[in-house]
Amino acid sequence: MSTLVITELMDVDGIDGIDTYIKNKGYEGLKKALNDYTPDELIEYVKGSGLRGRGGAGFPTGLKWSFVPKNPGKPKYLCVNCDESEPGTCKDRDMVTYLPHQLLEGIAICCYAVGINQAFIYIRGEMLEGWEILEKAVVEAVEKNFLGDNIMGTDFSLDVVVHRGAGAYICGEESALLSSLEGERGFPRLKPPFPAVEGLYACPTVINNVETLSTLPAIMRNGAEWYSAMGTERSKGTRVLCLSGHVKKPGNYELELGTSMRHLIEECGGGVMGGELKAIIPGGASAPMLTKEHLDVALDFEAIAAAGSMAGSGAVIVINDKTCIVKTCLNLDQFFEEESCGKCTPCREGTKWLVDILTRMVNGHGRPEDIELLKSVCNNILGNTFCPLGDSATSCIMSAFKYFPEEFEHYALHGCSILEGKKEMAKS
Amino acid sequence: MADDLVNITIDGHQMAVPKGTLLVEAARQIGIEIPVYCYHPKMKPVGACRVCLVEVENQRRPMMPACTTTVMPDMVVHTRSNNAVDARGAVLEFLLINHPLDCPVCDRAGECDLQDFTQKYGNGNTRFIEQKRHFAKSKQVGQNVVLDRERCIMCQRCVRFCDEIAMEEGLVIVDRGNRSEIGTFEGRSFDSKFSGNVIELCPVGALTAKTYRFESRPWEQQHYAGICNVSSLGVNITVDVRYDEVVRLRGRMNEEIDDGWLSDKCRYSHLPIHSEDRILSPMVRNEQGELAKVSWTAALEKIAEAIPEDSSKIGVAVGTRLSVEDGHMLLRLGRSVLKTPNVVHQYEGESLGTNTTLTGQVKGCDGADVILCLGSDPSKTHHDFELRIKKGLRNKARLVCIGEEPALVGYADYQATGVASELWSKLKKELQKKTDDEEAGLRFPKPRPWEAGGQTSHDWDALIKEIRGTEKVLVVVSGDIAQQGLEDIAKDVEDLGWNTAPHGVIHLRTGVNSVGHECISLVPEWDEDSNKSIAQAWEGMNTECGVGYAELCRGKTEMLLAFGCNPLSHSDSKKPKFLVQAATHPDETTDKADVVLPLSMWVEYNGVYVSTDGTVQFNRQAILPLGEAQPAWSIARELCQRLGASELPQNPRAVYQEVGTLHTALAGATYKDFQAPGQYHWSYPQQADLGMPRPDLSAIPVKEPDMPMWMPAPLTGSTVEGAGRLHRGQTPPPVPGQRDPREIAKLLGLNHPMDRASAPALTEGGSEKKEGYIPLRVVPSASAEPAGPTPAGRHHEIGVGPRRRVAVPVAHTALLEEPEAETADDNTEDGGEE
Repeated sequence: MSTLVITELMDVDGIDGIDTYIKNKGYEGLKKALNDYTPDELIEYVKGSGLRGRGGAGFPTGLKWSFVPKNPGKPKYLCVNCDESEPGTCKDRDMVTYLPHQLLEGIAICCYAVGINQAFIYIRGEMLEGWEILEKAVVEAVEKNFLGDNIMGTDFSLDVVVHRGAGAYICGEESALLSSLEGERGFPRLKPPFPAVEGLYACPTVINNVETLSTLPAIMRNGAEWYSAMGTERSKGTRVLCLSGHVKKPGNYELELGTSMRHLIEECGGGVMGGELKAIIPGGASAPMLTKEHLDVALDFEAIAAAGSMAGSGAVIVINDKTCIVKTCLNLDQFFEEESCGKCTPCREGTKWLVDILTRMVNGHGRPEDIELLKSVCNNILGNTFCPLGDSATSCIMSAFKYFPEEFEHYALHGCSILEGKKEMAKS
Repeated sequence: MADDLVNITIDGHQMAVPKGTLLVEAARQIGIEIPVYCYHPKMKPVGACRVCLVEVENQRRPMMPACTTTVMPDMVVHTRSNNAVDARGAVLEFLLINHPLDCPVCDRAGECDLQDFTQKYGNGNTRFIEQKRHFAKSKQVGQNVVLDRERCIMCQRCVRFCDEIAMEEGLVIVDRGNRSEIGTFEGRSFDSKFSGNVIELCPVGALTAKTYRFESRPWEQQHYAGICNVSSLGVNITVDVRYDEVVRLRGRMNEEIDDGWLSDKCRYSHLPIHSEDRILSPMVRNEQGELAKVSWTAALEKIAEAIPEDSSKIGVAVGTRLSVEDGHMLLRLGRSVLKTPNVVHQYEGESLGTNTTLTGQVKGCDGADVILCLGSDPSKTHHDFELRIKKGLRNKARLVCIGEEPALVGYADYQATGVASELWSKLKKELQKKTDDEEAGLRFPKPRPWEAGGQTSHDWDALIKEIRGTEKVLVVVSGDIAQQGLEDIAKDVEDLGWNTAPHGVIHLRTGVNSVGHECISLVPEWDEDSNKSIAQAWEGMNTECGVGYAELCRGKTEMLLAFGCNPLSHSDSKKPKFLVQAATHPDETTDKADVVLPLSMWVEYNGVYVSTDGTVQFNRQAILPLGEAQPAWSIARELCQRLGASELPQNPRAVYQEVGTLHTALAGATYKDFQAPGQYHWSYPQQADLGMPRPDLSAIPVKEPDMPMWMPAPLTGSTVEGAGRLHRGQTPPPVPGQRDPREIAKLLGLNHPMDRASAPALTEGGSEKKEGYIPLRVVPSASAEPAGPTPAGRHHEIGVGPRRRVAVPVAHTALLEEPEAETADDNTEDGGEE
C-alpha cells in the first residue's frame, strides 16, 4: 500500500473539527510556509514538488501560480473549484466533508504564495452538507487566526468566502465558474484573456481544484522531495481515484500515480461485480472508454492519454459485460444534453440530436444509416464547440464505435440490444 | 508604423493588417466573406454561433472562430478548405434542425442571414427526422416587439444589445442548453426606449416589430436614405417604402451621429404619415364655423384676401420640423413678399442666433474624459443621444450631471442638484483656481454606477477633483439654462481650454431643425451685415427686427401664417384675427384656424436639415405627397407667385442653391455637398466568389440628391426586374422602361414642380384665371363637403387584405393601365382637364 498524502487523516474521529486537526499536525504546513519561505520561494517549492492540477487537465500547479502578475495594481483572487459534477467523481465531496481544514490550510498556503487576500470556494449547490461543514470550518479557522487578518502574527491576511453554485455542470469549467461567481449566467468566457491575467472581476485569478489544494499541507510538512519521489516521472505524487460502477467495493482510493488500473479494480475494488469486465471509463464521463485489454495501463496522465483516453477527474467507472453499450452512451449523453449551457450551436443542438437518435435506436426504431449519422454528428461537434464540454459528449460514442461497433449495428438492424439476442422482427 | 501591422495569409492572399484585428474583419477587407450570426462590429465578440469557423494552420484546435480570433504574425488562414466548409455546413445544419423553416410567412424572408448563408453554404438535404422543438408561435415580449422562439438561433445579439449598448435590463436568456429561449425577467416587459434595435439586430425572423409583422416583404420595398425628423440629432435612417407607403424605418450607420442605432421614438415616427387623421386637403372655415374642404385656389385666394394693409401686422411662424428649403421660401414670403419683419422659427424662448460657435459634437462622447450634462436630463428628450453617452461611458468617460433634477439616473458618476446656472458658476470658479493637486486628471478604477457595488456620488469635492486637469470635456447643455446664458457658458468653456472639437459645448436643441432655421435668419433680429446679399437679391425686403415666436403665439399680429407648428397650444395663446395653418395633423390650432392647408411630411419631399451639432444632412424624398398635401416651400412659393413675385426657384434643389448664395452661414451650399455615400446598416459590402454575388454597397449611390422630384416605381414588385434579388440596404435597380416623371406629370395633367412654367394653365369653375400664375392643382369645389378624416383627393383606395387599406396615387394606377382599379371616388378625379 502506498503512502497516503491527502486521505491520511480521513479516518480520524472528529477530524472536521479544528482541534482534532491541529492535534494531527494540522496547520503546520501553513506555519512552515509562512515562517520559512518567501512567496517566490514557495512557488518554486511547489514547482519542485511536481504537483499537477487535479481538476482534469493536469496543469503544473506551481507554473500556474507563477503566471499571475506580481503587482497588477488591482486585487488578486483565488477561486477553489469545488463544483464537482462530473458523473462518477466524488473525491472533492469527501475532502470537503471530512477534511475541511486541510483544504483551508491548502488555500492559505496558495494565497500566501501568490499574494492573494481574498479566496472564494465555489461549492456545488447540491453539496449542502459540505457547505455547512466548510462554513463552520472557516469560522473556526478565523477564530484560531489561521485565516483572517494578520495570520499567525504575520502581515498576511486572507478572507475566505464559501459560495454555493446553483447546480450547473458547466460552472466547473473555470471561466464559467468565474461568470457564475460574478452573478452572471454561467457561460464559459473567451480566452484570452486567461484568468491568471484577467479573471474574476477582471482581476488576476488563480483557479485550483480542491484536491490540488488539499495536497499542499502534506507537501509542506513532508517536503517537496518526499512528494516528488512518488508517482511516475511526469505524474508525481498520489491521486484520489473514485471507483464506481460494477465493482464490489466502490469508493475513493488514494493511489500513487502510475499504479495500474488492474490494481485499482481488482485489489482495491475487489473485482468486477456481476459479470466480466467489458469497458472502463478512466476519467469521468468525459473520457473515452477503454476495454479490458487496457487493464494494465497505469493510472497516470500520460499513460492513459497514450491508451486513447484521458485521466480527467480520476473517476474510474467500471462496466461489466451485462451492460448494453448503446444504452450506456444514451445515459451519458443525456447528462451532457441536460448540462449543455446552450451558448454555442454545435453543443446545444448536437447533444440533443445525439440523444434523440440514441433514444430512437434504443426504442427499437433505429435505421442502418443512423450509425453513419451518429458518427457524422459527433464529428460535427468535435472541435467546433466553444468549450470542451461539447467534445466530451462525443467521446463515449466515438470510443464505443471503436470498440463495440457491433452493438450499434445490432440495434440499427434488429431494433434491440445485442444482449437480448435477435428479436423477431415485426412482420412487415 | 510597421510594428503595428501583422502579416497574415487568408486563402492565399497575403495582407498586412493592424494588430488586434479580428480575422472576420481582416477577411472582409479583401472581400472574403466569412458568415457570422453572433458577431456584430459594435458589440463584444462572443464566439457563440460558430458559423464563422475557419481553419488556421499550426493550432492546437485547427478550427478557430474568425469572430473572436485576432490576427497573429504569419497566421495562415483557410476559409475554403474542406475542413472549413465542413464545419460551416455542420453549424448551419445544427441551426436548421430546430428551425421551423416557415420562410413563406416570415417577415425576415428575403433579408434573412440564415436563408442567405444556408443557400450559400448549407446542405441541400436534411438528415433530421426527429421532432423539432416547439414553442408558442408568437410571444409579445414588449409593447413593440414580438418574439418567435422557434425561429431563434440563440446568437444573443439582442441580449447583448440590452446588456452592452443600452446598458439596461431587457432581454435575457431563460433556461439552458437546448431549452434556452429568449425572454424577459419574470413578470417584466421589454419596454426599452431602444427596443426596436433588437429587431434589426436579429439575423433571423425571431424578433419582429408589432407594427411591421406580416405587412410587407423586403423584395417589394424600396429603400431611401433619410434623416430622422423627431430629434435634433439628425439620426440617419433608412426609409423602407412599399407601394408608396412607408412601412418601416431602420437605422442607417453614421458613425459620427447614431453609431447605427435608432431609438423607438424615431423608429416608429413613420406611423403618423399614413394615419387616418392626416390632413389631406385645403380647408376653409365657413359661416357655420366649420372647416370645409376647398380647392387650393380657393384656400390661397382666401389667404390673399385677408392680408392686412399694415404689413407689420402679419406674422409667419416656421415649425421646427421644416427643412432649410421650407424656411428659406417662407423667409422670402414673409420678409420680401408680405414685407413683414415677423418671420421666425418655432423657438420657445429667446433665439440664440449664430454668433456663438460651439465646438462640441455628438461623436465627442466617445473619446471624452468627462461628459458634463448641464441643465435638464438629455435622456428624457434626446433618446438617441443617451446611447451615445453610454458609449462614452463604456469608453471610460466619467458622467457628471448638474441640474435641477437628477439626470441619467443610474449612470451618472457624479450628481449635483440645484440651480444649474449657479452650480455652473461655482464649478467654473473652483476649476479656474490654481492648485498644485498632483492627482488632477488621474483616473482611478472604481465600480461605475451601473456595475455591482457602484453608485452615484454626490460629493462636490470629488466631482471637482474628477474634472480638474482634464481637457477632453463634453459639456452637454440642454433645457432652460441654455436660454439664460449659452454664450457665457461657451466663453467659460473656452477659458477652461475645453473648446477643441469634437469636445466643448454641445447644445441639445428641442427643435429638429432649429439650427438650420437660425442659419437662414428665421429669427426676430435681422443682422444687416450678414444678410446683405438677401437685401440685394430680393425686392422690398423688410429688414427691421420683428417679434419672437412667443409673441406670435400670444396673438400680437392680426394675421398669422403658422407652418408646421401649433401656436395655440400654450396656455397664454391667443388667436389672431386671421389664422392660417399648414399642418399635417389636426391640433389646437387647427380647431381655430380660418384656413388649413395640407402639409407634406418629411419623407414626402427632398430637404436639408441641420442637426444640433451643426451637421448638415440631406433627407431624400421617399414617397409622393399624400392627398393634396404640399411641402411648405412649395406652398410658400405658390403664395409668392400669386402675390406677384417672380424668378422663384423651381424645386428644392434650386431653393437650396439660393440658400447657398444668399445665407452666409450656409455659403456655397448645394445638393452636390451630399454626394458622399451613406452607409446602410452593417452588412457585407463585398462579394466573395463563393456563390451568389453580394451587392457592393459602396458603389451604390444611396444619396442621390441631384435628381428631380422623384416618382416611385410601378405598383407591383413583380414587374420590377430582379426585384427578388434585392438585399437589405440595396437601392433598387433602375426600372426598365420607367417613364420620365415629367412625362408622367404631363400625361396626367399634373403640375410637376419641375415643369411649373410649361404645364398647361388650368382654371376652375367660378374663379377667374389670373395672368402669370399657375394654380397648384385644380379640384372641384368642395365647399359643401364636410371635412372628413378619410383621405380623398386624387387617391383611390384599393384593398390589400384585411389588415390595411393602401392608398395608391392615381398616377400609378393609370400607368398600370388597369381600368378596374379606377373604381372609387370618380367624383374627385381631376375631371375635364385633358
